[in-house]
Amino acid sequence: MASETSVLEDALARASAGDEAGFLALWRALQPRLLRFLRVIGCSDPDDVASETWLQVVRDLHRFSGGEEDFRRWLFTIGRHRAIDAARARSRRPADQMISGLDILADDQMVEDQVLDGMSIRSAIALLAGLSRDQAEAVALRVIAGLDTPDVAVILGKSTGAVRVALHRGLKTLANDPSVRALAGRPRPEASFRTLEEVD
Amino acid sequence: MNSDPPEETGHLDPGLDKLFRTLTAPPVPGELAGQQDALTMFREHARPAAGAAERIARPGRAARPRRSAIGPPRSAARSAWWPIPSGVRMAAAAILAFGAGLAVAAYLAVLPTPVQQLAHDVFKFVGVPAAGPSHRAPSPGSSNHVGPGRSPGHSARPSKSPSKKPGSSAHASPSPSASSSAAGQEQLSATAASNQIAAGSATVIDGQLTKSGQAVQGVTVTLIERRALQLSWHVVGTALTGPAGNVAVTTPVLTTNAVFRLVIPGTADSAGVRIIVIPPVSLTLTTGTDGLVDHLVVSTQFARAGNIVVLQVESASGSWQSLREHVLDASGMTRFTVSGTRLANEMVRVLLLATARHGASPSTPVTIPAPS
Repeated sequence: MASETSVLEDALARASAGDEAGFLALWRALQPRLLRFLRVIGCSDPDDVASETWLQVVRDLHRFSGGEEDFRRWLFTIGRHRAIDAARARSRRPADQMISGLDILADDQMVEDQVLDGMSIRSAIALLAGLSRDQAEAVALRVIAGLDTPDVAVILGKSTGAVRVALHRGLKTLANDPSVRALAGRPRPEASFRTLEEVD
Repeated sequence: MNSDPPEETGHLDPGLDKLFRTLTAPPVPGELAGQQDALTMFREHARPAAGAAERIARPGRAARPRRSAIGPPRSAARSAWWPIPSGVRMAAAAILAFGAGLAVAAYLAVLPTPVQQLAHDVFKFVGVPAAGPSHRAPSPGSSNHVGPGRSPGHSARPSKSPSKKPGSSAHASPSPSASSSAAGQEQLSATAASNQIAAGSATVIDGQLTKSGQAVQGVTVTLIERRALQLSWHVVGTALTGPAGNVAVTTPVLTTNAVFRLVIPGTADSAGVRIIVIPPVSLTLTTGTDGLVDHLVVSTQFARAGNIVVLQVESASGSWQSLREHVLDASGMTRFTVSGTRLANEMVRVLLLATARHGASPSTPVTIPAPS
């Protein structure tokens, strides 16, 4: 049976050729993760930013060459840029122009009754969003986007070492969070844990 | 891509492992609510890559060597699209570039008055404004203008500068809300009474033009619009500023979300004002013959096939809990069948999930009657 990666490689090739089914396969595989990443980094309108991200992807897809991992790196790079643009635009608006309409787009009304291991996706996203910006971005790109540490470093414009430090600190903070300890069945913080970087 | 967490997480702290599995869990329905919109966008904007047929013939090929740059490189085989001698292509490109530049300049109303008026006469059907009181030639030093013709927020190529940090001024392309002017120059604001309106209605964008804190009267201000999932901005109206520098322009009737800006080409432009449309959703209860099975018919306007509606029941605490979801058919309708016994006397509603085209919209709740 073909792996998911090879399925997405095929979908990417088809999408590049204008095939709708190929594009939909890509979109369905990556849109949820893009939305989660945008929420982690504090994007106030993730649906809109994700749409703009895909719009740019669709426009430039005919010039894309590379594999599924390259595409994922490209997608999340664009998504991060669009989120930064949106945040800058939002900061320029007068205070009374903050989009109250986004209340109805917030995920508090989304269907998230699919709970894994006692934690909802929304709660997990909130946990990551509670980290410092650097740590949250690093962990989200590493875990949600599935990128490796050097790629995360390129996207964030940091050294690989700096990203490793951010990952280490972020994961340490998460591991000591009471809700994560509860998931592990540990009522109290443990002295040490293995991080992504220690097994890289 | 594997939907599982990174393989290393198997060795991680068990709590983190579960956290990562949650973060990479399969999508929930709301995360795929915009699928139909995404497909429409793909149909409207996608262009097949040169040599794509060959790539499809070898779908299992190994990925090409990783590039150092993030963005996709231009395809060297792109010329296969245009089997025309290069000299002819260059001449055609020059003509197109000139024509496009003229059109953009006319659209921005930065041409000399007679030329602008001529452009308006010829191209008014695409929104080129007439020469007006505010019309002026661009000054060489006016670098602050961000016009719609630059496709704000969307660089023509994938960004090659992912290393910019949030807030970096050099980052990316001009923002769609890039604000108006430096100190001492015109400042143009834009607001709307509400950022949410019922789909199928219009609203008014109010603005004010000031210069060094003083109201500026008698200047033509143009309202431009970019609808959801569209790249281009369109002129939708103009108005003259009043004594207080104020202006009000009514939007077109909106059936999709849109961003509006007030602009004085070459002089000032406002921040974007996003308007979210709320489609009406109706829920009709049809009681079965014995009351054991009831039907809830959902109908919508301005939603699209593939959009998702969620059946919800009101809990004792007053919050709404989701029961199940359906996808709207081509006529914007769907039907839930519910148990009159299990939901007897419960208040239920449906919620149309938000997409890029519209906001979320709940129906009026109905009460499921107890079986007779």
